[in-house]
Amino acid sequence: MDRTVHVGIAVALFTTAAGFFGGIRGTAADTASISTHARPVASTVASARSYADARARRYGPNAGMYDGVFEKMAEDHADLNAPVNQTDEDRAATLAKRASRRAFDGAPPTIPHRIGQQGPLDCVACHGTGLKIGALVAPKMSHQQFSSCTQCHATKDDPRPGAPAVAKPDNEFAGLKAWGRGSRAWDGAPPTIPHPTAMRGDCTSCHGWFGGQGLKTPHPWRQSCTQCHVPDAMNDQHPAAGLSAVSLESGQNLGPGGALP
Amino acid sequence: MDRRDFIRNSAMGAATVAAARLSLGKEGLAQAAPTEGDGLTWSKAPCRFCGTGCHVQVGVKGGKVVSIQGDAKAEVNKGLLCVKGYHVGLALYGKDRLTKPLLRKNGKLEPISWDEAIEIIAKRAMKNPAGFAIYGSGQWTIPEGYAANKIIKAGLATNQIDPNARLCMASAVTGFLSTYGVDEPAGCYDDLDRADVVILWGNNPAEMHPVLFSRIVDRRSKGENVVVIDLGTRKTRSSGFCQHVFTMKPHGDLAIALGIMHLLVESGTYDKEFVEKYCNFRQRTDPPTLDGKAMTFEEFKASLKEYTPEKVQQLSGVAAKDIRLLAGLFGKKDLRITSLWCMGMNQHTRGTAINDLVHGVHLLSGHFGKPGDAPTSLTGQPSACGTVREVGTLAHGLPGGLVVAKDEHRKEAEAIWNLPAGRINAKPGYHTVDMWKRFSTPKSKGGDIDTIWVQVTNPAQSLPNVNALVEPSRKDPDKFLIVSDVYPTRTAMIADLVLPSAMWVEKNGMVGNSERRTQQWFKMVPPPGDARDDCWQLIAVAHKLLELGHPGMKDKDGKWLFHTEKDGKEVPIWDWKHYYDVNVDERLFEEYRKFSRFKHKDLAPYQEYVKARGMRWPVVQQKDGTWRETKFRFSKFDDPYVTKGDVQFYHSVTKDDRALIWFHPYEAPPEVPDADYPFWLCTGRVIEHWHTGSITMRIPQLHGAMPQAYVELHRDDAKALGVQNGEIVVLESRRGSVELPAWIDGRGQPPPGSVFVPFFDETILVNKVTLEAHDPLSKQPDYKKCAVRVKKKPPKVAAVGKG
Repeated sequence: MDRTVHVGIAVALFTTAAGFFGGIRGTAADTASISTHARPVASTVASARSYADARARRYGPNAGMYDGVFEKMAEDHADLNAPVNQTDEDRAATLAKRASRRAFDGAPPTIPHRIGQQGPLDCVACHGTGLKIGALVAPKMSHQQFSSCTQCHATKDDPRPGAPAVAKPDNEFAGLKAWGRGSRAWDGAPPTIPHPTAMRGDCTSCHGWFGGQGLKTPHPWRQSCTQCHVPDAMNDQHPAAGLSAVSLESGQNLGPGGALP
Repeated sequence: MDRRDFIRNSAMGAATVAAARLSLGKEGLAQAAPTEGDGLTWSKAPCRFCGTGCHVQVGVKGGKVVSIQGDAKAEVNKGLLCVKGYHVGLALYGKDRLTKPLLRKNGKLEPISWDEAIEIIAKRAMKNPAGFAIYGSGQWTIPEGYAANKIIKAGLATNQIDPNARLCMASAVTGFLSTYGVDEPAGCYDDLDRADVVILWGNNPAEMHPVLFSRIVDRRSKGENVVVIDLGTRKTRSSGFCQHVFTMKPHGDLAIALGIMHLLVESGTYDKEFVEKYCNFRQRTDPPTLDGKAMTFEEFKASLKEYTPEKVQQLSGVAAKDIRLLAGLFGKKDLRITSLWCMGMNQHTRGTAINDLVHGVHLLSGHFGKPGDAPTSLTGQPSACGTVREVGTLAHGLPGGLVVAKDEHRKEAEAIWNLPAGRINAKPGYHTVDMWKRFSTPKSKGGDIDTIWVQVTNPAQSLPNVNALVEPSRKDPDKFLIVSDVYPTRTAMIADLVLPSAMWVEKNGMVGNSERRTQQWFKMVPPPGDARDDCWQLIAVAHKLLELGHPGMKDKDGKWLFHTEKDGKEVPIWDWKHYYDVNVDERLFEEYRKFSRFKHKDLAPYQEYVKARGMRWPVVQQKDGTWRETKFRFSKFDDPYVTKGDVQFYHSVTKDDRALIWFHPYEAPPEVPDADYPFWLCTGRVIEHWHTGSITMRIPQLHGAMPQAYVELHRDDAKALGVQNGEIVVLESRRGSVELPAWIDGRGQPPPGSVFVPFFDETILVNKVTLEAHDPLSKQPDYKKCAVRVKKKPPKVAAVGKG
């Protein structure tokens, strides 16, 4: 065994011991009775008697920040075989939320939170594996090979602190909506993939653990999605699909105001 | 099977699949509901925005653009786009698109007919051809620029045409011409895949050329090692990805390049063999010219002597050890080094000099001519190269790299255009700053330009010192401003005549990107209202001039300059109803293509570009009839025009197949901060917005992410000024002032004593503050440095009462 394992065991033993002895010293209720503060948070505001206590007894405005977080995270990694209960309403709600963050289906979503403005960002800290805490979801990125995140993703809101509000522009673009469900050859056949797969290399981003309710796969234990679900070559820039075929003939006469036939 | 067959077969394959689907649908797909994808077609087009030249797939449904994907077949972007590119489809649908020609009557813009509008323009040109100028753009398509150039150079024969690209890459052009004798980079984007070291000379590609930047840094995701070095006057988003960030003083780049050359020469690590075989040395003359005068290596060495690392540290602010580090890298032959630059080196009052010096560093060290080893300049507009540099829509230029000043060049052009001998004027027209100065000067005081027709650009926002160059003309009744645009830009709103234009996939088009790649697309959707193609507008005016009897509109056989036939009959392309009866783009391009041979910038037939996602010139026909593009110019392994040696500069200024390594001394900027104006001001762009924001500010997602311009302040300066984030400050130079909110530790980080303002916001016109001083050769102004003062805006004082 190497040195790190020894050190690890020593730390673990110490933590267990410190936690045990720290734990038997008294409860939050005990310490609350000796607090001189009358504020509602006072029950958790107390000087920790040991570093082990400090972890459990946070104080200040964010004292409750981590309450139950780890339990919630564990909940979301529930049994792979647990049934997925989702309704059409769930699906509609998820799609509506999705649509609110995109100019059209397939556009890179805007960032609904503050980000740092300079340099490479730590987006992967949450979006690398995906993260869900209660209702808050950081979707897993489905194109991990790219590193300049702000190349495609802009913040939804003005990133400048304290900046004056400016009216939004009026634009009549009506973008492609979510593509609807894939087609099934018969009842029970695996549906086709109804949307382009470019930049969507990881199906679990939307259909996996942290996917939106209504879009989740009912069989999360399966790994090879395209074994059963096929994309649409026409919408997926497949070489055989004759993309741009409509543009190949020269001198098309669209007419001065005409559109493509 | 040739390429055409393959595509035809693929198209047939797709049709078969579709047919199969339909037949299946009758039985098997009974339950398939209609989906959002029904009726959707995808077609290729290059992105509308920057000079990178990404291809997009445009999803069209019901006559409208509804979706955009990165084009997986495009070599430039390999399926990836940036935030502007993904939203380029929204560019067409801002609610305030211009849809009717408008004429200013009693101070108000009022709708008129197209016929009236075309006649007004033609009559202005007829009345005073010498005072009629076209101010164009690097956003013009190739056929648009070609038509405009032909009207001015072959028709009116005045040469009064210049583009906004004068403001963005003229110094890159003079740098290439003075070094290699011919314009445009030898290398291409493939260099970015091979370079071991990438040096950003005053460049922020993470925001300005995002797809190229991720092409570099994403190599790290594949386990490759690429060192990126930032030489800039402020820290940017790119800096965070760099191993070395060297913050320099404005004009420090001149000193750094000289310092690197000094060390290469002193230590003997320069590439003796490369220099002896392929280079000559050059110094400048007074007044400066592109040719300069010869100097020996010994004289060159002696001139560099004073640029020791310590002296360079003093001049540039970059530590002597870091200068040694850079010189050390260039001294290593086994490394592949690519230099990238754009506005930082071009918008520079010594723009030609710094371009020459960076080429010189590469030539002197032999870091040239191998994939990954190249000085590569980037452009900011989609066709700055294609339309401006190649079609020659400059006051001195002719298509294909020819110039009006040379007798033999004019003769060649007259032959192709079938003009009577001597038609083309040998005297260049006025360059951009001069053109606008004359437009803003009364006729009585020598202001001999009285009409400017602006197409596809927004000079009332993008010219420097707009108070002096634009505003006076708006009060002078002799001056007439015509603007063709898609939105009510600042320039359109102060114009006398406004023409509504079709944009991007509302028309056919061709453009050329930074790596010599010519690209083509077809019209996919109709333009809104009465908006019409810019190219049609030009051709309609040319025909009206013919009707009015202007002799220049005919060639030597009496045929109209834009005479077009189909099946032996003339097609009235000046009549909008018939404009698309033929593919005017194809006709103009096939004519223009004849010019491309003079400087070995060979272009393939139009139909080849229809099939490709662009091709890089020279595109040369092979024995088997196929057309082959060239990635690496002047290098034997790739360039078919190299006939001897591994590297051959076959357009050499010195006519001996050698490139020129120039010596230019360090010079201070023309305006330097002092006690009255203690801050440096640098202007530029942000990733969300493109140019003057006339398109991107109308796209909600881009506007939402960056709705307003700001001034970046260093924390220490903000503290000293008592300014908080978001507080309004007054930024003032000797020329004008703007009020705008402060951003501390914002998108970028200028060093103390330096501020940065993006120019995209028409409500915060920073070009009232900038300086119009320009490079003596390229005439390109310097938007990157001038002296300003910054103060907190005093709170509004309440009306004085009785106390």
